[in-house]
Amino acid sequence: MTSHEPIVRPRPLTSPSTETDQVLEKDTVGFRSSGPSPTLHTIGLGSVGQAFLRRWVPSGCRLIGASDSTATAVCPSGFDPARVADRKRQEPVAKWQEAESIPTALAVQLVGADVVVDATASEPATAVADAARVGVALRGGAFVALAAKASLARAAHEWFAGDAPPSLGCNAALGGTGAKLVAQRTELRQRCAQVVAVPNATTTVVLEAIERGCSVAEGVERAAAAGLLEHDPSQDLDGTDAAIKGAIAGAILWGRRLEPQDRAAFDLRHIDPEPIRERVRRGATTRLVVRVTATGLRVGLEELAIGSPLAIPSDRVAYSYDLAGPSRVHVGLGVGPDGTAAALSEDVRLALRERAGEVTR
Amino acid sequence: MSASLTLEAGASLCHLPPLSLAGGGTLSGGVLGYDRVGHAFAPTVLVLGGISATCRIGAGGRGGSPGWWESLMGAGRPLDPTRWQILGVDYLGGPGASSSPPVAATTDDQARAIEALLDALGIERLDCVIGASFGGQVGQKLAARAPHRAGQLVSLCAPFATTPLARAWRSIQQQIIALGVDVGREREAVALARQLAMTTYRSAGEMAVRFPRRDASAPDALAGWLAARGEAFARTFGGREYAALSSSIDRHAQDPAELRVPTTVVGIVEDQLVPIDELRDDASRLQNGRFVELSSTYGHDGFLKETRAIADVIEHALSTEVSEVLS
Repeated sequence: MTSHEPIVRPRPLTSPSTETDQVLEKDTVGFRSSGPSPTLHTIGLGSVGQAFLRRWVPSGCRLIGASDSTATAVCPSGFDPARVADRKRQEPVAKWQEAESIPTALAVQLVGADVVVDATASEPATAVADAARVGVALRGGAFVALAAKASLARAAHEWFAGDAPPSLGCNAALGGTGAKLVAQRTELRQRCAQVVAVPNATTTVVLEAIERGCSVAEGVERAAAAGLLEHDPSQDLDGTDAAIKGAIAGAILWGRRLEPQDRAAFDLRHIDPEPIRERVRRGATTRLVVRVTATGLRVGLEELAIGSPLAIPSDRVAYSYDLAGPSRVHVGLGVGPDGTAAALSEDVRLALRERAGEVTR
Repeated sequence: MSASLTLEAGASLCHLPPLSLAGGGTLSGGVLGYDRVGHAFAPTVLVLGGISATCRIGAGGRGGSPGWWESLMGAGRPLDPTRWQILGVDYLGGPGASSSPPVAATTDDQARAIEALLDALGIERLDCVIGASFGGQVGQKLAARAPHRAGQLVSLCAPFATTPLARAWRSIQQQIIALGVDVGREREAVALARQLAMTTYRSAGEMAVRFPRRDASAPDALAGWLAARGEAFARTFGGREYAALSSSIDRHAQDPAELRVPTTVVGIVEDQLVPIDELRDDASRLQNGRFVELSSTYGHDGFLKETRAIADVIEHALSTEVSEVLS
């Protein structure tokens, strides 16, 4: 950290601004952001965070804060995003000269960036703290782009309760389909009785491998090689990840918090592969499907016709919103670190355009 | 990054692999809507229609809405789902369930998307590809790039390359749409462009019979007929889709001499868009070809209206041994 100046809190970006136009308020000792471009604070510098920094930071955004689990580094004039990703690969942020080892929620408040990108690992155990951190950012006027799912599963029903969308993006959390859900939620709230989704690409990789004659273990290895496994791989294979994503979609639609753990036990590692291969011989396929209604959800392997909109390959996810006859299907490519990072970027770009008055979410 | 589709119950989708587009860029996460009728293990016939056609060729005994070639599909009809598996697709960039690519898809792009569908369905070889108008052009590309996948091709009212006059007509339609988009009247522009297109799809003879010169009410009746056709089209077609498919027709070029697949070319004498003499000349250059000349007061739209004549062509094609040299 080269300098500390009285903390100032730039107003939320509402129009292109110049440095002289910025209204800065004095607050407590901390960090100051300055300059005309939208400011960005990235939390979580794992594979998704690094992918975001290397390729997907929207042009014109100034990266002023970078946080991992050990510390937060701040540069008011703006970091080189790619350089941050490279440094993180070599050592934790706590070892950086410009770092402060403070709680991330406090860092969010002090950095005061216009946009917070939360690419932290999704851990049910930290969901409460993660949701609280999001709340800090929202109260500070920031837009939060979330890849982390646990906090969304916990609090999305509150955040999305109103008619107007919150300053929060869930595109990455839902495999690149969250932006579409938010944009269409008013219509879908009125018409949708059930969400049927294939939201977990890891299980699709495993099932495709089984269909081709591989073992479950070989399928899991392929998913790992593709960078698809969650921080805790068991969450992919026991349906937890799929359930969480279903719960998020349900919370956004119906304003109810659904408990992902309230479902029958399941573990892909212990399935019998033969029925899956038999379906292929009959011209069908198998996917891990989550079914969500306003009252609950269930997760399990289901047979799908080859032409089903949910019979997706492993490079994408699909959410089908049952409209009592027709269905609205959202297909997303936000899979793996790069796909997830691209989905985060889409949320950020949309938010910046909204704040510039170009679009309405 | 993502797609949002509204699908009718029972709609079928093929999730496409990344597709490099001839016009630049890649269609990632794309989907191709399709309809499949008949036994899954029966010989397969791919049927492709004009730019306004969807994957639904006909109800085929399933009930529900009719298809664009309803009169030709059904038990006892040429496209008999008790004998054949009949496959139809929604074109990329068209009004159906298929994706709209970032740049206008060419007929070759459409053919490659269809190849991906065949791979997904495990169909190694089509017994026959039947394409009409734009569908014939897509069929030509499919036969050219994957002759091992097509037992034969029936190309109806489909130019191997567009004529300058047809290109001029479509240029005016595309300019109408562009103007409409610019001034915020896109739907009206699409309807108006379609009205112009209708005058090229039909024949002077038909118009003279429908709207006789000496009938005082004819001008109003003609205007009403055109307006109704335009409005019906504009209900399902956006300006971008229309312009993209229209430009795709303009850019299509297939050397008939390159087609190794046995090919039947069907032309209509009164077709303004696809002059019979040019089509006959193109057909003469086929390696293994047959030319069928029809007459229809409906002009280019004869492939939709002349049920009996078209049925004869299809029945002949589907009953012909592939090994025969067509003559």
